[in-house]
Amino acid sequence: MEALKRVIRFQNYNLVKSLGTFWLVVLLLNIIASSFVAVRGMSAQIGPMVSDGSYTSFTGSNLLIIFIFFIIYGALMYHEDLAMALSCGVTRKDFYKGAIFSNIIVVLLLSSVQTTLLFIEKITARLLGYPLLTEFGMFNTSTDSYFLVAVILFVLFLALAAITNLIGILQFRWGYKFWIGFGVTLVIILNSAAAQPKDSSRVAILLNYLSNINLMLLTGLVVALMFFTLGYFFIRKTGLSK
Amino acid sequence: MLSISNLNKSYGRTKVLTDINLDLTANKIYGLLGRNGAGKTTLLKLITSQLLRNSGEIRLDGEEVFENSRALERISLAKELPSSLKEKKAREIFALAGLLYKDWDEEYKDYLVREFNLNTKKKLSKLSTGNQTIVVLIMGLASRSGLTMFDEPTLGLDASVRYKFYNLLLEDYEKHPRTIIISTHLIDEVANLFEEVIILSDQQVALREDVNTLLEKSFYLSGREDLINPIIKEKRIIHRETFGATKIVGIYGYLTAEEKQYLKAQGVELSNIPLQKLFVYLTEGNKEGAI
Repeated sequence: MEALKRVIRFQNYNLVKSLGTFWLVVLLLNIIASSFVAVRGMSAQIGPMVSDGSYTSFTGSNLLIIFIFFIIYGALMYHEDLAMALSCGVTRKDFYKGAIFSNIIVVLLLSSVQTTLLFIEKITARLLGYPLLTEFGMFNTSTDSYFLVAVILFVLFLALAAITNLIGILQFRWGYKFWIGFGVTLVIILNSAAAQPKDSSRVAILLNYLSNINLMLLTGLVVALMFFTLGYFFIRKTGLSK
Repeated sequence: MLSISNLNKSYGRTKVLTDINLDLTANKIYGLLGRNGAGKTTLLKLITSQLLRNSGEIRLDGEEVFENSRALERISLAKELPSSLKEKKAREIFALAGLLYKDWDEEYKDYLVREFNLNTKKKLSKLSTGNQTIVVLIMGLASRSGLTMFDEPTLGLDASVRYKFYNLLLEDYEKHPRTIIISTHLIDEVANLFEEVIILSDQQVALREDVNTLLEKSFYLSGREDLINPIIKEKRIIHRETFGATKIVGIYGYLTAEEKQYLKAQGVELSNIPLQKLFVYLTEGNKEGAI
């Protein structure tokens, strides 16, 4: 247990600083983008935002930035931290337990801050006078409660963290070869998907699925569990080559 | 303390270590020697579980080390840091090492930083090769691990820093005894530190001997060939060279008091072979006497 505590402290050594910097940059982007709209009107849309043509959300665009954050976080966790931890006598099992714990902490922090920002934007949009996009497929900030949005984002980010965690492990283990394999697989999948005839019933199934919150949350949790478990099978047989 | 049995490791089809068996006792300084590619670093990485073995056992005080935090937290390997850490500052690396090593001594680390005059505010990539090595040495020394291993600890260090390291190591070893394994190519410099040497050759432990014993049974005989030949015909010859009428022969094995007396009486010069030379002769493939 002592060893695990040391690993967790090690993995989260720079967490406050990196998350603080991340949110500072994201908030600045949100403020700058919404300030342009406030000063120049809706025609002066600059910076990251999501829009369906009529409605816009600046904080909604953070979801994409958070996605990028997770990819980097997952890669660094193994590229930097695992390499050092293995050099300093940490077991793979302790490292992985610590990594999952750290991922959950990060997911919790990101989902609660992002939910808060989405709800704050309801006020700022009213003050600045732009039509706010509240429908995000999985949730709607005008009809769903703060708690429900936070839970949905938590599960969504957790699934995302589990996937990027696995990507981080595979990248650590196989380096550039992994990205070649990843790219080739992606091209094959996209091509075969594009070759399929358009089927409107599939869209209907997807919309129906998105409207079923419980099913969506369950899927997210299963994906997270599946990817975290899969990650362990790869990491337990990983050596430190360089 | 450390017990290795039937250890095997290969990279793909290339065998690196074959049936390694070693028993190391506590609170001794061992020298791990071997030519390039002999498998020294691989062996050290296997002991710390950084690499996965093909078969065999590595036990620390009876406990298997692989995926065992109780055992691994008592082992440290000071070697070149992973390239992924090159953009971290030295002080950041020390802070992280301090979190990971159970017995990390922060005060001692500060003392070593002062002794080596290391600028810890610099990123590892901005430090010279020698200073990068110093970071690694400080990590190894301040880890205070029961089993501390140094892999090529003098890489890029100038002579004065190398001797400072040897002195600090000995000074600390006297105050806080622990088992130390040093893998190096600068054998003569550290020969005085070693209590035992382990030589890896042809994927195996070719020799393991107390340093004093090793030096006591290796000699250069220098003199006329006809005077030397009667003595060396039963000995293991590891080196030969001729300068005109003078022949220099290196032998590995004990000389009796009578043999020494005979050589002295005949004017044949007798001297011990330095450890570095001995290592070279013993590990020279295809040459007579090589192991």
